[in-house]
Amino acid sequence: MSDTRARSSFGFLARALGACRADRTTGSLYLAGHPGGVVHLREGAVAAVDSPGAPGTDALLLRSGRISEPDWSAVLRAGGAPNGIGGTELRLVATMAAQDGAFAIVAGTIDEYAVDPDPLEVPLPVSPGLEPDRLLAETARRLDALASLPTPVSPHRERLAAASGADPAALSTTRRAIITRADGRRCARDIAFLLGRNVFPVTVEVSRMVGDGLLTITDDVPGGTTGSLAPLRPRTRETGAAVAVTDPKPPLPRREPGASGAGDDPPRPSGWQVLPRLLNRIRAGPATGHRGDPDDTPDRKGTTRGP
Amino acid sequence: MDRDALVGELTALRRQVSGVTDTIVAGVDGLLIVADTEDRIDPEGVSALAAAHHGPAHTTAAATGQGAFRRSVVHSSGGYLAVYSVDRLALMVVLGDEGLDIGRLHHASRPAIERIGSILTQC
Repeated sequence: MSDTRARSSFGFLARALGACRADRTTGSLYLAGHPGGVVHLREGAVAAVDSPGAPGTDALLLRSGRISEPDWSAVLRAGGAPNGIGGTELRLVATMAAQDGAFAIVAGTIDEYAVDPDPLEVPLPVSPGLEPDRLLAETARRLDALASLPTPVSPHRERLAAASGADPAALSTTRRAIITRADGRRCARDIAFLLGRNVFPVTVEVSRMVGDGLLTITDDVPGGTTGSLAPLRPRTRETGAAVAVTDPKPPLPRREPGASGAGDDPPRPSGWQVLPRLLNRIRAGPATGHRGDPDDTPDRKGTTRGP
Repeated sequence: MDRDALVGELTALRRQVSGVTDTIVAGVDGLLIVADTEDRIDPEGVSALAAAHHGPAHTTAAATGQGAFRRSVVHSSGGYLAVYSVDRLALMVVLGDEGLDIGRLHHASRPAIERIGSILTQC
């Protein structure tokens, strides 16, 4: 990982958060870059950090199975805390997600930032909010911790593959989970999303595994899957291949009430109307019925047959 | 048609936008042209689904007088599937996880679609 690039991004975030703290900003701090992100602020304190580079609180809770899909849908509808998780645990997960989001943002690049004073709704904010100084201190600690490793990797750039000869069965649970998902296309961020874990610990573990010779950094040259490579323009209906779509003409068919014929037949008796007739047949005895006659059904005939 | 150029475009888009996991180019008839997908994804099946998805979306756009179909997005709890029109001849399908910034993907897709369109129509 480029430590210089991360320090530059950290300086960017520190300046932007410092200005927001001084102004006691309530709103959204947009950080454009790769992966970039949004810091949600309430009176200068950080309520949440969203970034494509790190799983948010919802992804952490859902992927880890702490809450169910219906519980999360209920939170989105009505707000409040989801069922099945305590307030302390929820605050811990939300705080870790915010710190992880800040780490993911500064581990990439920041091109520019802008503050929108109109606050966006945050389903599960950190409450009370994190002080920007505390968030920055934790982010700096994480950058230092990653940079101090012998083989630090970027959470966003380096694609990882299992080294030849690495035996997943001999590894710890966490390492086995990482190595089985390192397919040469994924970076540490992608693996963290798949596992439902924070990006920072996954990046640290990935860096150690690279150092231990369990993972290798690939150049991500994909083989790709190929179908028909014939040029599209000359392909015609005669060849049975694709032709350009055109606007549908004539317009959609118009549906008329009653056109389907539904409801033309007289209503058939059903439910409680059939029951007395069925009882009559039963009371009349077996000689009056013809088991197996397809027409001899109470809802069609509704009458008993005499001898 | 330059297969390597197509794969290069798809790979570049995946690397450019965090959260993109798979990319596919298919004809509007649902036949796969080229794909950059993980093993767990069936590119031919997704191509057919994208074409099936494109049919009513295209018809709806025309029937409501809103012009040509450009893109549609399926947003699920675990991620996204975006279908883009490429010159009315083909579809670019992008799959992403729940962290995908869909606005960034739309922005990054525009130049990629133009280049893919010109590659597809080269004889």
